[in-house]
Amino acid sequence: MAAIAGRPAGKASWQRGLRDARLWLLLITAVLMLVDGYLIFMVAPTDAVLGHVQRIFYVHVPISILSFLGFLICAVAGIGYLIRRTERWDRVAHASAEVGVVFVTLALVTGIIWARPVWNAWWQWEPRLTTTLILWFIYVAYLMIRQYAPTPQQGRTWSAVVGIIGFVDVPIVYYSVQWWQSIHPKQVIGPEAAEGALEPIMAQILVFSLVATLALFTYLLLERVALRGIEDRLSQLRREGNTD
Amino acid sequence: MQSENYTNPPAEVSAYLESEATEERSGWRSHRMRLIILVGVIALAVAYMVYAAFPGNTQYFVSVSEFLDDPRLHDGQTLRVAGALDPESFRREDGSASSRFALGDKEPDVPGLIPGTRVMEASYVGVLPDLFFNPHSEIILEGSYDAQSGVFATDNILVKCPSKYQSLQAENPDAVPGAAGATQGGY
Amino acid sequence: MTELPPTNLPYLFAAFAVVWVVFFIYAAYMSWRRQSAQRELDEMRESNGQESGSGGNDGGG
Repeated sequence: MAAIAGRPAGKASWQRGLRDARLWLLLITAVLMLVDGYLIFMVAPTDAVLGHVQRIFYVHVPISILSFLGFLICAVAGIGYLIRRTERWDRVAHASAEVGVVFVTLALVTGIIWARPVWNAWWQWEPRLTTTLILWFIYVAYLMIRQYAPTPQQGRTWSAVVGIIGFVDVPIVYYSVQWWQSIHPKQVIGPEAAEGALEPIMAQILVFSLVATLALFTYLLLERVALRGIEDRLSQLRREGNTD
Repeated sequence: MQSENYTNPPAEVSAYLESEATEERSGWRSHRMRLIILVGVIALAVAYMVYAAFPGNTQYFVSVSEFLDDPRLHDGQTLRVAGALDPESFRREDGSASSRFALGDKEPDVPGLIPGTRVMEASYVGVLPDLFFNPHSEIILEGSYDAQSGVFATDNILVKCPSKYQSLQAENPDAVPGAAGATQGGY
Repeated sequence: MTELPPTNLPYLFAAFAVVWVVFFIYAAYMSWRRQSAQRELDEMRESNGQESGSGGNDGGG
């Protein structure tokens, strides 16, 4: 109670400011996504070998990269939580794990849809796909541990540990295509990409897609953190109501 | 051993159980049980996946020449052989889904088979993948070799594409303009 | 000989449809949950308003 009464006066306006920022971000995201759709379908050239289906690339790759970012934030915030033991760190870790799971799920689904017409199979038990599926399992486990832990306190601690250790799989996923010969293509952009792996216009549209998807990712993450904040305050009030 | 804790709980356990009640969570044993089952299922699933994805750390597939070095070694065994289609070799009986073709070694990122390379005879019954005839494709045959007939009986065909994307125009500037659609972009 | 690329449009549209439907549902679900939690929070603060006077101020909306 004392904590609520003693809140600084600026808190309410700060929260309102954050809400406005989320609305603006949503607007910017929507505009970026519309432009991105135009670029992907109207400007990007059709791939000489794969045909139109190669346009999945412009969502599949940014979504995969941002799932990595989600799990990176989760691991860092998990370390922060284990050191500081404050709700704020846990909120960020929890939110980024959930958004990361949404992204890695979509990375898997778009990959499966892309694989069917190209590889002639929906799924292959090969290193890139398998390590990505393991990544999915790790962070789904992260979310479930929070649900099933004996106390919320333990849930926060155990899930932080899983989030930190689980991040080890991210570089394995990234380098799997370099380490093991397989059916999945290697990187076509970034430090590991071969020279000329991507036509310049395709690379430019991919970067634009990455920026647009980053805006969406940030919006979803902020929205999730805000939701956790309100739900936390609600359950705190409920507990105080019960003890009175 | 756990039941003793219940009859005579140490101070920290009872404090823990009290904190439990205020957290509005009951039946912590079932929670713990579910957690153990969850962790067990995930561990088993991950172990199986790693086993499936990295079979004895062997290669995902063998090349045609690796296979031809000793085909008898692979007699009757299911395996994957990768290479490029010899386009001249493709034969299909009219009105049937069965086809015969030959596969040779392929250099990565170079279309077609390596000139003068040895080829392996293969048979397949079924619909061919979209990219089967594309010279950029690396064809992976799943199946088994029959030493008697000297033909690789294919159960399944996979197609691996180069880690490279480019438009038809960039690949072949002499190609008929507009053949791949009007969305080539004006850049 | 130039091999023309295949069309495969259904797969392309399926992938984009899945991505957009999932993102939209996720965002809408969070927004719906946040609004209903906010409403409940405001109601609780209103009923508790008398005892913890200043607490009702930061509800905002």
